[in-house]
This record gives sequence, C-alpha cells and structure tokens, in this order.
Amino acid sequence: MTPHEIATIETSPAPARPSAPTLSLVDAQRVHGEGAQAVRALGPVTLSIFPGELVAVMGPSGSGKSTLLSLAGALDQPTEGEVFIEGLNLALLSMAELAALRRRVVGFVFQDLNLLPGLTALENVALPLELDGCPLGEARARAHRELAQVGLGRLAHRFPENLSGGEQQRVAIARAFIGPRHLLLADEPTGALDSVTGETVMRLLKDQCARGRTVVLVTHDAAHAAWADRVIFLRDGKIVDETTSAATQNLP
Amino acid sequence: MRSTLSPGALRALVRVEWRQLWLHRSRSLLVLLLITLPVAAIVGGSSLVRITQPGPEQRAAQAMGRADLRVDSSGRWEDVERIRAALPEGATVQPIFEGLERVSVSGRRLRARLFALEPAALIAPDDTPGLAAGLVQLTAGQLPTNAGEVALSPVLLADLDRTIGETVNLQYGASRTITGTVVAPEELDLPVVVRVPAWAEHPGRHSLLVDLPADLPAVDPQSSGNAAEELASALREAGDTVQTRVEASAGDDAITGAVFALGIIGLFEAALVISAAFAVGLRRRQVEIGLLGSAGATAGGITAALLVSAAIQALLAGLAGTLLGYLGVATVYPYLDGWTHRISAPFEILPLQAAAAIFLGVVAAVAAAVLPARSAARMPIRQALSGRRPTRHRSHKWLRVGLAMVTAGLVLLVLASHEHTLLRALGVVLGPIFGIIGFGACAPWLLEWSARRAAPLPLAWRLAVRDAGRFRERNGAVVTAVLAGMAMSVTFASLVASLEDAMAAFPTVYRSDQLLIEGPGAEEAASAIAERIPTLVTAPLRAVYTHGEPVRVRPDGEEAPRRGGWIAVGDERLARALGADGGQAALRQGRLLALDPMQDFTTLELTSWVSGHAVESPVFESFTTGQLVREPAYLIGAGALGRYGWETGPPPRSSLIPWLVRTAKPVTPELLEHVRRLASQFARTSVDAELLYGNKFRKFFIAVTIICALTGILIVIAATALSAAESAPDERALHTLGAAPRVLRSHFASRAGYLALLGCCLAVPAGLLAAAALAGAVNFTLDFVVPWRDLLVIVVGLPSIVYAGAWLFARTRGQHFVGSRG
Repeated sequence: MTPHEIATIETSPAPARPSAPTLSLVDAQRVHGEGAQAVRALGPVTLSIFPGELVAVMGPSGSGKSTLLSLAGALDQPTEGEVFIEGLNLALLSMAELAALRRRVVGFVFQDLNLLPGLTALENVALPLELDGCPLGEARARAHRELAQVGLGRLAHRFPENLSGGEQQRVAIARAFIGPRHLLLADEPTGALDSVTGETVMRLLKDQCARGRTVVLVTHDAAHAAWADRVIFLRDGKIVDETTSAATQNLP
Repeated sequence: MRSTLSPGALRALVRVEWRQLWLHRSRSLLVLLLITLPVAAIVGGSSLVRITQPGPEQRAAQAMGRADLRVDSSGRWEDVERIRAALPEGATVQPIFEGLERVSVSGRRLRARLFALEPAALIAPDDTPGLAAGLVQLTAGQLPTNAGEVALSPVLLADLDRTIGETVNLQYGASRTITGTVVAPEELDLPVVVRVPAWAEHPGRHSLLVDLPADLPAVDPQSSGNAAEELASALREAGDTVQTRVEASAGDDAITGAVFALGIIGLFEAALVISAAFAVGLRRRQVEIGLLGSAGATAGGITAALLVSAAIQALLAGLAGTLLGYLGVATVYPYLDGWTHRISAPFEILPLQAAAAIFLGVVAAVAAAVLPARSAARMPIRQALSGRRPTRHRSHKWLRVGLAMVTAGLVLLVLASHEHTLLRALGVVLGPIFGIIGFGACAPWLLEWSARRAAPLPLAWRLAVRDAGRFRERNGAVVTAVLAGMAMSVTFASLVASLEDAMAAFPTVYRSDQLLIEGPGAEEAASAIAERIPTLVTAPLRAVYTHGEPVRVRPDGEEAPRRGGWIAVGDERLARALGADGGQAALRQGRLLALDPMQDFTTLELTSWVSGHAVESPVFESFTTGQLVREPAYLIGAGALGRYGWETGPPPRSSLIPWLVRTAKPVTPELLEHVRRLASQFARTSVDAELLYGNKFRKFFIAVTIICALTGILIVIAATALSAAESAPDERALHTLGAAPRVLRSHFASRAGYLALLGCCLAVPAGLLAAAALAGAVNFTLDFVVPWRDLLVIVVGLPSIVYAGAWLFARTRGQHFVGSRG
C-alpha cells in the first residue's frame, strides 16, 4: 500500500481475507538510551498478524507489550528492523502520512487515556472522521450507528465523566473501528473493568474480528486471552511462546 | 484529640512544600516572575517619578521665580492699579507677560512659550537674580533690551537653524536679532522666547510677581501669622487670582499614585494567574496531599504550609523585584537628565518604599494561594487518593456574586458624579474596581454556559471551549486577569474618544488638507508647491478692510467675538481653498458666507476692527464646509468690495498677505516636511498646517493599549502553558487518533485565543463602566462616547495576536509524543 492508497482507502471495498498480513514486524527492536545506559524494551521480534485475527499479547510487566503496540500503531519507531501495516513500511512514511494511517487504518483502545473528556460519546466516536475532513453531520450520523452497534446509542450525548468504565471502553472500541479502520490495537482494555463488563468488551472485539477486522490485544488476564485466535507470550522484550486458539482454552 | 497545628507539624509540612518548589522549578519560577515583575515596576516606577519630578522649591520657582506671590491680572488696567495700591509698603512688584509666541524663519514656523519681561526681572542691575529668576534663565549672550531683540532657547535655535546674532521673525512686527539663549530650568527642552514687553501685551494682561518685605508683620494677630497668606486672602476676596509660594510648591502626587495604582493592578493580574498556577500545581499533587492527610496532617496544617510556601516564594520574588527595580533605575540614572531635560534628584534607596512593594507582593501571592490551598486541603482523603477530579458545582454562585458586584459598581458610578468630594472619590475608585471584579466573577459561569453550547464549533475550538468550561474556576481567574488589563485600555479608549469628541466641537486651526504659506515669498512658494505636489488650488488670503482696519463681525452683536470674526475676500479659488466650493453662486451674488457657524444667529453686526465704526452688513447665509476651522469664519466675493466701499489687506495679526494651498489629500508629516523644504527657498517664508496642532491623547492611548495588550498576552500564554501540562493526555489521545500536527497546534492556540477573547469581551463593559465613572467625575462637561472602532480593535486584535502567538509557540508540539509511550 502506498501513501496514496492510504488517502483513498475509504473508497476501497472492505478487505476480504487475503493471505498478506495486516501487520508485520520484521526483526523489530526498540532500545531506549545509548551505550551503558541503553535499555532494550523490545526485540528483536518478528511477527505477522492476519486479517480477521484476534491476537492476544501476554507477559509480565516490562516485557515489552506496550512497546510492541506502540511500534505497531506508528506511535513509536523501531531502533532496528521494520514494521509493515498492509505491506506499507512505516519507516518510509512522513509524520503526516503516519497521522493519516492512524486516522484511516489503525484504531487504539487503552486501559486509560481513552476518551477526550471535553467531547460527548458521540463526538468522541466521530472524532477520527472529523479529523479526516468528513462533514460534521455525516461523521456524527456514522458515529451514532457505530455507538448503536456497541449498545450505547441512547448515551450518545453523555460526556465521558457521566459514563461507567465499561461504557467508556465500548465508546473507545466504537471509535477505534469507525470509518475504514480495520486494525485495532488494544492495551489492556479490560484492565479497569469488572469481569462481566470485561466479557462484554471481549465479545465486542471478537464480533469485530468476525467482520474481517484485526485486533491485537495486550492483556494480563488469561480469561480474556482465551478469546484470542492466537496468544503471544513476551518476556524481556522477546517472544518466548505462541499458542493458537485450541491451546488457549487451557490457559491458566 | 488536638486539632491545632503544632510548630513541628508545620515545619515538616513546610519542608515538603519547600522541596516541591525545587521539584517543580518551572512552575515556581513562573510564580516568582509573576511577583517579581510588578514589584520591580512599582519600585522602579516610583523611584523614577521621585527622581525626575521637581521638588517643592523647583515647583515654586517654576511658577513664580523668587516672588512671594503671583497675581494674575484680570485684564483690566484699573485692577492692576488697585492691586498695586493694596500691596504693603516696601513690596517689590515685577510685571511679566506669559503667553504663546510663533517664531519663524524661511520654511519653518514654531510655537514657543513667550516671556515678555524687562531684563531687570531676570537679572537686577546689581547682577543679583531678579524676581522672575527661575521662570527662565539666561544661559548665553545677553537678554533683549529693546523691541528689536529676542532671546531664544537652544532647542528653538537648533530647530530654526539659527545662532546668536542672526535674526528670526515673531508673530508681531519685523525681524528680531537674537541676543542670547534662555531656558526654563525645569523644562530644558521647552521652546522659549524672551523679549521685552510690546504694545500687544496691554499692561492689564500682565501677571504681577510680588516680593514682600522680609519683616512684614501679620495684620491679624489671630491669623496664622503669615503676611503673604493674609494678603493673598484679601486679594482673593477682591476677585483676583493669587498664588502663594506655599501653594506653588505643593506637590502633585498623582503620578506617584498612578505608578502605584498601575503596579497594584499588575499585582492583581499576577495574583489571578498565580492562583491559576497554584490550582494547577495542587491538582497535580492531589494524591500527594491525600497521602499527607492519610499520614495525619490536618487540613489547617496543609493549608498553612501551602500559604507559608507561597509567602516564602513571594518574599524571595519581592526581594528580587526590589533589586531589579533599583538596578533598572541605577542603570538609566546617568541618562535621565538627557531624557527628562531637567537636573534629576539624587538616586536613593528608600527602605520604606522597598518594604511597601515587597509587602504588596507577599499579600498578593498569599491571597492568590488561599482559595486553591483551602480547596486542596479540604478535599476528602479518599477522593484525593483516588486522583479523581472533585465534583464540579454549577457556577451560579459565581454569577450571583458577579452580578451583585456589577450592580454595586453601577451604584458607585452614580456617586462618581456626586458633588461631595468623598462620595465622588469613592465612586471613581470603587466603581471600576467592583465592575472589573464583578465581570470577572461572572467568567466561570460564562465559561460553563459557553461549554454547553460548543457543539457546533470546529473541533479545536470545541475542545478549547469545553476544556475552559471544565476548569472554569481556574480559567475564570485568567479571564479576570486579562479583563483587568484590557479594561484599562478600554477605559482610556473611551476617555480619549470622549475628549476627541469634545474637541471636535472646537474649531481646528486649519483644514486637514490646507497649508498656510506666510512671508514675503508666500505667493512664489505657493506656486512652487502647487507645481510639485498634488494640489487642488492656491489662493491669497485677504481680509476685508474699512477705515484702514479689518472689518470685525459679531453674530447677534455678541460682545466678545469668539471665532475668526473677520471676513476673507476672494474669488472662487479662495472659496475652494476654504472648502466652500459649493458657495460660489452665493459669492457671485455678493452674499456674505458664514462658514460653519457654531450657533444660530439672526443678525450680523459689522464694525471696524479697532475704532468700532459701524459697517453696513451685506445679505448673509450659512455655509457648511465640513471642517470647522478657527479662521476665517466669513467669506465674501471680491465683487462686493466696490458695492460697500471696502478695501482689502492682510488678515488681522498679519503684516503680509498669506497664501492658502489646498492639497489633494490630507497633509502628512512627510508632505509637510517636503513643503517646508520648498518654502525655505524663499526668504522669511514659512509653512503652517493643522498637523502641527494635533492632540496627543491618542498616542497616550496607543501606548497604554500596547502595555495592556502585552500584559494580556503574557498572562494568557502563561496560563495556557500551565493548562497545557494538564491537558497533555487529551493531546496524546488526539495524536493516537491521527490528528495532524496542525490540529494539535490549533487546539493549543484556540484555548489561548478563547481565554483572551472572553477576557477582552468582558473588558468592554468593565472598561466602559470605569470610563463613565471618570467622565462623570471631571469638572467640565464631557459627553461619554463609546469608541466602537477602538473596541473592535481590542476585541479582535488581542485574541488574534494571542492565537497567532500560541500557534507559533506550539510549533513543535506535534512531534512531542513520538516515543512517549515506549
């Protein structure tokens, strides 16, 4: 995919399930600092994630899970190796093109830092479209549909502070998938939720994958990881294990 | 259980606060600067005023030389004789005339202060100082001793490019030889002319400088015993205007007061921003304060520690400000004589002055910290530890307080025009203060109200308005700070507009597109000017004469003709030069045109100028030229001269026929300079224009506005930088959603622009309230005028500048987040 293709992605048909990966990391490393002060946060890691997959990333604190997600979402750049989204090498993109990529291809959900408190739920969901120049009315109409899909149509005009934690995460998921975006990077989206609400959020993510979208989920919770098609285990910045869906049923 | 604060607990808490100051150095530095600068301004400003303003003896000498009394004449000769008769035996009397003079050489004509006095008034025959010594002082050459001589100040000589021994022209009479240089000691740059009294200064118009005998006893033993005061009272009872030496030496502390007032306003603005800075800092330390509470610290103890911390900061800042203020004065002191054109008083450090400024700084900082400290300290511990923002209350309470204060301000405004001095002072001082604080108190409610209606706004502005609404109390303080500064600008704009409006009712000297060429080469100079610059017309300015004197016109026979009461005569060229293009038909019919009459009248009484011979009045009609000028006020066609047996001659107070040039566009400084160069080619020919008589109020207003705007910009940028730290998570969220750097910058700039806009909008009613109070308090009739154009500039200008500045300041923020989540 070229930068021009990013610009025109909205008019492209929804992706089927091609053999090409949605997200690839090739020997990707991230080192903070230099010389004796250098700390390896991740890598080298080689990984491919395909359309429609729900991939969980697990590991102890400091294992590099969030760093992996930052590299995958073009929030950070690897010090070594390459990251590809839909075959596009992120290192070759300008700041503006990376921003366009985040608006049109990649969505994020974090444990906190999810919604802008100054915007209503509807406005939060419409935000990526609005940032992309979509007319406000159309953006809000589409946001309303997206909110309805996560069961929050009636709370569209509430501000985040008037929503529960679970509702806020559902709004964030709706925002992450609005428009043509089909890669969701979720950093412990259920971390602050009770188990029932967490289940609801996971069901939502799984539904999105069923529609051909790709989800990468960082979690500490084995129960939530069990929803994944694949689970990747990180330790000290490296992939130490990988299991597929059948095996995830037996996670501790 | 004891709940009082022990010294040990306070010491421990203050230690925590002290470390916080170091930990958050940037914010501490901002608070220090916000106190330091106003304190430095107060110390430096008041020192400069003391050093550069004249002391009591200088003020007295400036007003009356060495005399004990100065009696200003009523203009009637018999009054002068009566005053002389009333003086005690042995009193010395020196008559002087003080007025305006016009000095000209080829190409230039300048205005100057005229002192017409005998040489002995300055230097007695025995070479001792005369009674008028101190009013002016001979610095080189000789004083003029006859009507053909004159002494000028060096600044005049330089402007006219003349030296001692050369000649200049004065308003009356032929050229005069320069015999020496003189200065006004307290105004070295004042253009001064000294000559001997001439016929123009009727003896009745003199002021009398009176020196009383040293051993003169008081007439009334019950009185204060001061003979000068007694004599002054007696003369005043007879209706004379008298000034004693004590009165003349009385100080005018208005400037010192103004410096302190401006400094206090600066501190008030700083306190509001400091309050916002404390609020942001304490919000970020919410969990830590909760931990202190959980460790057993009382709310009172935490509040006290926070206030002590603020006081320590303010004390340090006050000392730094005092040092900075004095350092600034010491730096400029060597140059002050040259700048102020007077000999400066010695530079001294006044401990009381420094202490007062530091005290004000500490009070401002502690007052600013009270509310945020109390709010933070009283937050329930569980809530503080959770890190969640406290529940926000609606801002109706603030609105009620604000409206009550604005109402109180309006009531005080009514008092400002009260006859009672104390009530008037209360109204003038407290009315604007209540207004500013009242409108500021409304700001949180306005911020909340606007936030609820922000949905249709573009994203960046929507976020800015909603963010401002979320943190409305802190942002309300910032808005109030901007409002306080800009209200001052609005007040000045209104007063200047009112003054200009009042002045517009008075005629100007010339039209804005007129040049008056005077001197023997006036005609040739006018032709040369017409050839080189775009000109509509040139014409000689002649007056109608009868019995060898100009004809004087009195509407409805009024006793004292006020404005240009002589008749200009000429053809259609002069009509055009005077702006009466449309009156040519009336002129051809022999009618007299009353140009822009200032009042209705039914008859015109014509007489000869001095001898008062009655003259037949022609048919007249009023004509509006659109620009009210001082003279001539009447115009008649040359064809009417023969009908009434009139002659022509130079206008009153002129010895030669001047020429008028009406230019195609209003005269600019560049054009005037060009024309002056042209006229200088013709001997003793000068140029005059309205430009040389313009008012200075607007320049003052512009200077005040620039200072206020700079203060406002600093406040908003500081406040926005503070809140930017708090809203960093929002910006990170925007970044992850793919917001372009442009959007992030726009978000930052919109927030700054919005606060500035709201502050400026609220400054308009607050400033107008203050202006109305001041306009009502002045002793003359001043119609209050709303300066719509200036208000538009203020309301649009400052927010635009702030927006642009914040946009530039935010240039690198778009890349700030890369790698921040590694």
